[in-house]
This record gives sequence, structure tokens and C-alpha cells, in this order.
Amino acid sequence: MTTSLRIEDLSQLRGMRLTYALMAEARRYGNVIALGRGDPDFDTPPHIVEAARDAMIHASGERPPVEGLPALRLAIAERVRRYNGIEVDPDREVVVTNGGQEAIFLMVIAVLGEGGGLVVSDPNYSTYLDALHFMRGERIAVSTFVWESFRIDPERVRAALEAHPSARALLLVSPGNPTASVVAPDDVRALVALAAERGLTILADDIYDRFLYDGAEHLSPASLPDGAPRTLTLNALSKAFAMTGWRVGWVVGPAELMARVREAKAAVTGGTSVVSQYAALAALTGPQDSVDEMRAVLARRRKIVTEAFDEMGFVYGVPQGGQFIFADASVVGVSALELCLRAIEQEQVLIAPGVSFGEQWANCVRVTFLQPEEQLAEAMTRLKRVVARLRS
Amino acid sequence: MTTIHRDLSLDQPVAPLPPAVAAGASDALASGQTHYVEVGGVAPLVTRLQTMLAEAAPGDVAPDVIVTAGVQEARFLAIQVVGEKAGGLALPAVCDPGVRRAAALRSLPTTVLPATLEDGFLPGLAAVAEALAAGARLLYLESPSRFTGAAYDEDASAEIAALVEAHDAQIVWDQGLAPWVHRRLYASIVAHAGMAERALVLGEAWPGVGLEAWFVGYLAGCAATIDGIRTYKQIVSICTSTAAQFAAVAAAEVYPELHRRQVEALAESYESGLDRARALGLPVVEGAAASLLAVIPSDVPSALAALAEAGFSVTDGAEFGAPGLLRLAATTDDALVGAIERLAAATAPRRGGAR
Repeated sequence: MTTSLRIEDLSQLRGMRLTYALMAEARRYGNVIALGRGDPDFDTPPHIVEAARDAMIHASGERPPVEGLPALRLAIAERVRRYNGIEVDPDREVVVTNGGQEAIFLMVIAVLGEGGGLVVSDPNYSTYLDALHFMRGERIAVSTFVWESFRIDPERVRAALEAHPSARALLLVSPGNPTASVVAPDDVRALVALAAERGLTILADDIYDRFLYDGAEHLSPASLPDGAPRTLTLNALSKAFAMTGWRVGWVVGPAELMARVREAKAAVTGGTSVVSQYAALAALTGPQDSVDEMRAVLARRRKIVTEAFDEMGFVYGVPQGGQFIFADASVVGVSALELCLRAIEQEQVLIAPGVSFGEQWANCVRVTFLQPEEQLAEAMTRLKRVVARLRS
Repeated sequence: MTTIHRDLSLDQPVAPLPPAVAAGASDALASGQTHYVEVGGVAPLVTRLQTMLAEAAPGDVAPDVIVTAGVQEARFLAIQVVGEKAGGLALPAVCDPGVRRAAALRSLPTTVLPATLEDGFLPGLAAVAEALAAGARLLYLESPSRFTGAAYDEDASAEIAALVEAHDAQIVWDQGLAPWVHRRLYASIVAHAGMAERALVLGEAWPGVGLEAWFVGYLAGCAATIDGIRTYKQIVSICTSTAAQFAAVAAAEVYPELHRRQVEALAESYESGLDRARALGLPVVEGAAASLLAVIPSDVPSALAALAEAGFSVTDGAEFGAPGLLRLAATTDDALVGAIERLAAATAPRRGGAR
């Protein structure tokens, strides 16, 4: 089969629109191995599903408040205390959201207002830019480089702030999406100090905080004394508990900022499904071994991808966390978008082009390792064939 | 003595979740429906919503439908996405507070459509015409009104459609309370010529079957408009909870019979409440929806205090832009009549010259 998509058409698309166009194209083929989207292939653990079933019977008549069920907010407060060292009041400093995605949107609305500047490391998850665009805000990009494993350098952040006085907030996604880099604790401390010095709010995205490899250490900015009063932290159940379809996440932070997050939540969706909230409660208060097991499996899978990338000559930063790898595929000799398209067309492998994250990443690809090991190995074999053909 | 709490502040009637609905969601979970799904909604639900909309308001073109995480997300997307393209919007002086919240999230030029008590707080045709003539290119209207239940009749909705067409404008039409219109046929804007391309309708999916806390709403309109909204839906929440969507799929099957019985029971409650209010001299705003009744107590703070003391929760009209009024939800028991009697007793004019 020949692809119905043309590079010229795809080149007009950015962010998730491009991703969705490629996903739609992949659906035309059989036997596709999808390594494009961050949707874990694992099942939601049974005790969580059972809690949801129970809630259907017993809780469907409840009307959850905008900020979420009190029991869930309490569980979230306990979770961020235990895993992130963040202390919050569940009554005033926690808002439950429709997944991490809504959490991103609400944080940007609550903190930036219209026209404010957000300092982001480049590349970063496209939804931040979409939310920023919605608020007519300014993106203040700080370059990162593959040869530095996409480290966000506090000195470069300082320089960006000097050049952009409109900056109101600093985004820290750790582990990062798409880069899989983990902001080193010393860098977190330096960035928190910088934010305090400049009066910036920090938006911390901890969604992959349970997925760290090779001894990497995650430090939440809000756990630091100077970070706590100025940081909104988001997380969600989607990645850690394979609950992408349930749509539950949260934002925590100081009461004054959280009042604005709650206000935005009331305006945007008004509430979160009560059944999903009870499922989330079971996830946070029940056994945690499924997360540890998933992390161990992902660590093995990551190795399959990095070994294949090494063979193909792709260049990547050290993927210290998360569920994907971002690599420079310049060695192939064609744009990464073309590589992605040929991978679907010739070998039915779906990967994401780096151009989704900006023109400057046109030679990069993002590959998730959210398929079983045999599938992943097969996908890498197929990808190697595509690369060999393109290079020949 | 224990006070039984009776909640008459709900936007939609509530009922215990039918076992078949829970089973539908449960089966979906068991079959692995725990992952991301299509941004616009799972196909079985989209199809059922399209069928429901086509049956409710037959038109030339089947609408495109997007499933939303509750009716507020539908409002937000419609107002912000279409409103920005239209350069602003005109909205009723009295409307669901979620409308104003959604409009205020970022600066969007807003015109307020005057609405009077005599019209059940539905903006009149003259107000609509004036706003359009002044340049408004997007109207936001509720029919029935989320506060009074008043609804535009066939002639009025036809005239609004003609005005929208004549001014090359668009309209967002909140028809979430339409299922409760009980005294006459419901007149949807989309039934009129040209509205398939210009109207965007929204509401809750199968209200009253126990899905309220699952947050399933919809937006329907022409493909071009829905495509733009789908992009923003992805940005806001990626997709709507899969369990909730499959519950809604199952709800579609039990809805017709359950809804018929519910409307009958609510209509009886509504008429009893209306009669009792009149008998007790409590002014009311008569609407078209059997699910709610707006009343005009002589003193709102006293009325709210008396109702709270008796265990009733109701909605203060101030939240909707109608201070001095209260909204009471009808229920399938005698709670509405009970609340009206309590209200009348608490706010009746004092006799005997109290000093």
C-alpha cells in the first residue's frame, strides 16, 4: 500500500495535529506497531477497575465538587507528601482534573493570565504551547542540546529572563517529554532560587516521576522551602497506573494560586467523573507494586530501543526517565517526517516526528517503549530495514 | 429530630443508575477500554447522539458530534473557540453561571442581551435583532432557560434563525433542558433552514438516567465548526472518560422508557407545585420544562434560611443574574410542594403590625 499522505501536506501540521494525522494514516494498515503515543499498553490494575465498578453502583448519585472528592484530595495530598516531599492542605491546595492534560491547561490559565511569558525548555510537550497560545502568551524558549542530554541549564534560563521581562512563570517537566531528561537536583535548586529572585511562578510537571532509570533522582521544586510558595505541581494517574482513558489528574500548590486553578476548572469543565475519581482513589491508596513492575519492564524495553538506535546511528541524550526516547536521526539522510511516513508505509511502524515539537527538531524522532518486548524488538527490526533502504 | 436533606438545587433530575448502564460501563472496562480513545468520542456514542439529535430536530444534514467531559466543557469550547473566530459573543443577561465563567476566561468582547421576567428571562427578538445589527456575530442562547425553564416556541425560534441567517451570524443553542419540555413540542433552532451550518447545539447526554456525576455532554454542528473544536478538546482534556462514554452508550438503550416515565412524574410534580404556589400566593415564573420552577419570594435571605432550616437546598437566582428569585428543581416525590409551602409560610407578608 502507498501512503495517502504527502510530506508537503504534513509539513503544514504541528503538535498533536501532526501526530493524529500520522495515527490516522497508520490505521489504514494492518499489523501496525504503534510507538507514537504515550499510552501504556498495560491494563489498569484489577483492584482499580473493581473500585470503579463499586462506585458505579454506590456513588453515581454523588455530586463531586469542582475541586474533586474530599477523600481523593486527601489521598493526593498524602501521595505528593510521600513521593514528592510536598506538603499541601487537601481542602484548599488540591484540585482534581480531567487528566494531566486539563491540569496543564488550568495551570497555564491560572498563572499566566493573558499575554504573560512562560519560560520553557526546548523541546517540550506541545500542549504547553497550545495552552500558551490560548492565553495569547509568549513562549520564551531555552535551548537544550542532545549532546548535553537535553539539560536545562540555569544560566541559559537566566539569560532568557534578562531578555524577556514579560516572563511570569518557568516550566519544569521532569522527567521531560519528549526528551526523557531528568532535571538534576542541583539544577532544580538553582532554578528555584532563580525563580524566587525574579518573582516567577514555577509550573512543575511531575507526571513521569515514578519512572526513573539508572539511579536518576527526581526533585520536586515544591519540596524546597523557596519553591513551595511559588510552585504549582501537576500529576496524573494515566502513566503510572495505565489509566489514560480514565482522565484523572491533579494540580497542587499554594492556596492563593490554587483558588485561581479552581476558578479556571469551574470555567473549563466544571467537574471530573465521579467513577474515575473513585478509581483514582483506589489507585493511590491501594497496592503500588504495579507501578514498580511497570518501571522494571520499561527499563528492559528502553534498552531494546537504545541498542537499536545505536545500531542505526541515531544520537540521543541519556533517557533517565519517562516512557520514550528522543533521538536525532540525521544520519538517515532524509527528514525525520519522511522517515516516519516511510516507516508506516513500508514497515507499519508508527513513530512521532520531532517536528511536532518545532522546526528545529525536524531531524529527530520520538519513540515510546510502550509495547511488549517482542513487539518492540520487531518494530526496531522493521525500522532498521526502513533506515537501510533510505540510506542505500 | 433528624432533618432529611432534599436537594432541589440540581441542574438536571437525578435517578438511581440503571443496572444496565453500570453493566455497559463495566463490560467496557473488562474488555480493556481503559486507554485513550478518539478525541471526539467513541463511535457507538457519537452515532447514538447523532441519531438522538436527528430525531429531536430533523434537518437536511446530520450534525457532526463531539462528546465532551460534561456540559461545561461543551460551553467552554463553544464560547471560546467559536467566540474567538466571531470576534466576541452576545449572551443573555440571565443564564447559567458557567456561561459567564467560560466567557470571562480570557478577554472576549461580550454583549449582554436584556432579558425580562415577563419573558421567563429569555432574551426577546428585539434584543437579539439589536445585538446582531450592532455587529454581534455569535449568539449564545439557552432554550429552555437554565433558570426558569422558559423556552422559545416554534415561531420565535424560526425568527431567531432568520435573524442569524440574515446577519451571517452563528448561534450556540443550549438545549440541555429540552428533554423536560412537557406541555408542547420542543422547538430546536437546528430544525430551521440554514441552521445546520450556523447553529451549534449542546447539552447533557441523556439527562436524568443517573449519569450526571459522570460528566458526559455533547456539542453538535457542522463539520467545519466541529473540526476546529475537536482540536481544542484535545488540548483541554484529550478525550472524555471511556467508562463514562460506554455508560452513556448503554444509557441510550434504557433512556426512552425511563425518560417517558420520568417526564410524566416530573410534570405531575411541577403542576402540583405550580398549583400550590398559586394557592399560597407565591409568585412563580412559569416555564416549559417540568424539571424546575423559579419562584419570587418576598425576601430571599429569609426564604433561603427557612428552606435550609427545613433541609432544602435550592439555587439562588443571583448566580444566574436574577437576584430576588430562587430556582427549585422538581423531583419525582413531593419535595417541590413541600419547599413551596415552607417558602410561602416563611415569606408571607406579616399580619398584625409586628413591631
